[in-house]
Amino acid sequence: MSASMAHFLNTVVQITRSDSVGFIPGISKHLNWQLRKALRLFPCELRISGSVMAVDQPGGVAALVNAMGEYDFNNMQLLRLLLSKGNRTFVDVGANIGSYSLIASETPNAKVVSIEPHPRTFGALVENIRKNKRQNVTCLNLALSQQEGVLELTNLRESSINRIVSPREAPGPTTWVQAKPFHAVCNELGITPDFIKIDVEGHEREVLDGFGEWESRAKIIFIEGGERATVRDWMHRAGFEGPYFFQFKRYQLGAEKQARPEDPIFVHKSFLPQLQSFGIRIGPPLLEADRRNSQVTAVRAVDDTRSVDAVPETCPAPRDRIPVKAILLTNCVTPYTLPVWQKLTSSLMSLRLLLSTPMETDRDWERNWDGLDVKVQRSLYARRNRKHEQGFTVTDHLHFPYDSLPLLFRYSPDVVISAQLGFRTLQAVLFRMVRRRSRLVVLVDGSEHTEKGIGPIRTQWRRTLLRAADAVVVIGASGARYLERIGIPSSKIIQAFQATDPTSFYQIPLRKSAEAAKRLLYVGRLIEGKGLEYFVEELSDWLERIRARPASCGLLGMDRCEASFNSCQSRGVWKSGSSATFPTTSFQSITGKRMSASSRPWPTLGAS
Amino acid sequence: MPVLGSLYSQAVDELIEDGVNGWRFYPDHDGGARSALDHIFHLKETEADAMREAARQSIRHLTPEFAAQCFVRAIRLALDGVRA
Repeated sequence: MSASMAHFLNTVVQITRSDSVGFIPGISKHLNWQLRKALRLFPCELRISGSVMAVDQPGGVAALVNAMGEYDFNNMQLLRLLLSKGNRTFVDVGANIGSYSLIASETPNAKVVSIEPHPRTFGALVENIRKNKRQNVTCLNLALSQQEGVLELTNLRESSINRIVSPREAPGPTTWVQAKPFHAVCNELGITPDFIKIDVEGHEREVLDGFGEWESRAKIIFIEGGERATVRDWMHRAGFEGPYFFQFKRYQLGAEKQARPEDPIFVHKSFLPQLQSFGIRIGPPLLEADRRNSQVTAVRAVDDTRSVDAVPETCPAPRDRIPVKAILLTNCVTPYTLPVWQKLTSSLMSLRLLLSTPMETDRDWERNWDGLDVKVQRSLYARRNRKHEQGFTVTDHLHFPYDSLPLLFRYSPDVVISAQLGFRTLQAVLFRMVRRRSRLVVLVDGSEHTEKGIGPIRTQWRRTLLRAADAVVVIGASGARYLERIGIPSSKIIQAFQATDPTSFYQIPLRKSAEAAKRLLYVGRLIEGKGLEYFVEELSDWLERIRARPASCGLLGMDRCEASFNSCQSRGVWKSGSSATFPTTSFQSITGKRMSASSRPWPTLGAS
Repeated sequence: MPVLGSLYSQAVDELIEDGVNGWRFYPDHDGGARSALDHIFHLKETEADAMREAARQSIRHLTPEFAAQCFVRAIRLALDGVRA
């Protein structure tokens, strides 16, 4: 088999396993790439994330970028997430033509140092940084090693496999490059690296040995060949845990490699809690997981009855469950729906959740899928601003999970529960029409107020979808009235309610002191659609009239509607020191502490 | 608690009963919130205690189990065509 055929097939295999691109679009792009190669249409420009990458010859990472875009999808998503959490420094060791550096430098507050030893590849790297006008990148034409000097580097046309020449290597074209240790580069630039990617074709241990005093100061290292004992030993000695693999769709670091394996990750022990605070779940790393599994197997062999006893008491006996296999199609799992889906899981023979996204981008909630069988779908995303009938702007987050139908045919559920009246429910309806023995339940969470201003075409669309449903769940009577108004018979509507676990609130005493009884607390998203400004205005007028003021006002919620804050202050609703804002996601986190005496929460002042 | 809430919120519309566990108002209607504030800040201590207790009681049944059972009812309805 020729080398070019081997490259072609290798990329095809990678596309089939890719998390960043579907098979058909990936293969189409790859075939187009073959045509470009045959016609020698180079140089050309490719897109990776929000950046443009100039490519002057085929091969290397260019073919991967062409077919898959963010080819190391999981690691690149993790890097983007990490850099979004403040002013961070990323060092790209073995930057090649800049795919990681370009993605990292899309975060404006990030500082990026790109290090590439090969002069020709370095030229392409600099050109890509310049083309994208990235001011936050420093490029260095250097090799990193354990000490300063010059090193012999292969000089192959295929840029991604050029490497430091080892003494055992057969003779071939080479070039000489300047080398420095990592600590010298950091000291010269005056940087403190937070996240590091090392991809140096076998020279990893020498790069690590050059860290010097910086060896335990990095937070995360992505490193090629991280499973090797020489790398692992260095990492563990320096206080790192790993090797891990990151599964973006599960938001999990663990031992399981991606379908298309990406470089292993090491996390410094001191940074693990912070990663968890981002909502990332952390399992045992690769080799520890293997060790634990072998221990578990041994224990089970000794006492097989113990695993039966370990079933949680709250889980209904299998015979009490409804004997149906169900699929729930929804956007994401929120903290308040998690316990509902957990309870529903324990009421059915099986429930699998197909999510359009791990979490909505405008929510700061930690992802938690404990006890759920979850799969994140392939999905397109769009954001749209629209004017509500009452004048405020509503941002809709639209998801188009385009693999719902194939997944439904693959899982072949007895019952499909589909949330919202969009693209996913259309696919659920089609499944219901083809698999006539299946049943469809549609969840509609709108109300008469939120659905105001929906035009006749969308109303007809909704009517059509809902008529195909066997049952419809609404969140409250207002939702039921809305559906009846558009012609859905009440006989197929079931009313549910938003629910939460109320027990954590019971610890708050009901009796209040006179002072505490004057506290006002708003709980809800801090967005325009909640009508907070109207309330603040009324509150201000009311205070002027009675010449008094509440002891304190608090706003608790996500987002930050500047207008509401400014309005509160300019209208004198609170004095300095008498107000409190808690832009947080967890009411429980403050109920036991700062708000323990008493409060008057008004949970919402409008509806988005 | 007690709770002041907008009538545009489905939860408030369903759960808040004027004078029992709070007051509802239209946030964009002139004077709606002022009237609710008048009520809530002129409550006697015993009245406020009773409303707080009523507020807590009014949502006591809204547990995750309850919500899950609503979906179970919907599944039964879909399977059997019969409302449970």
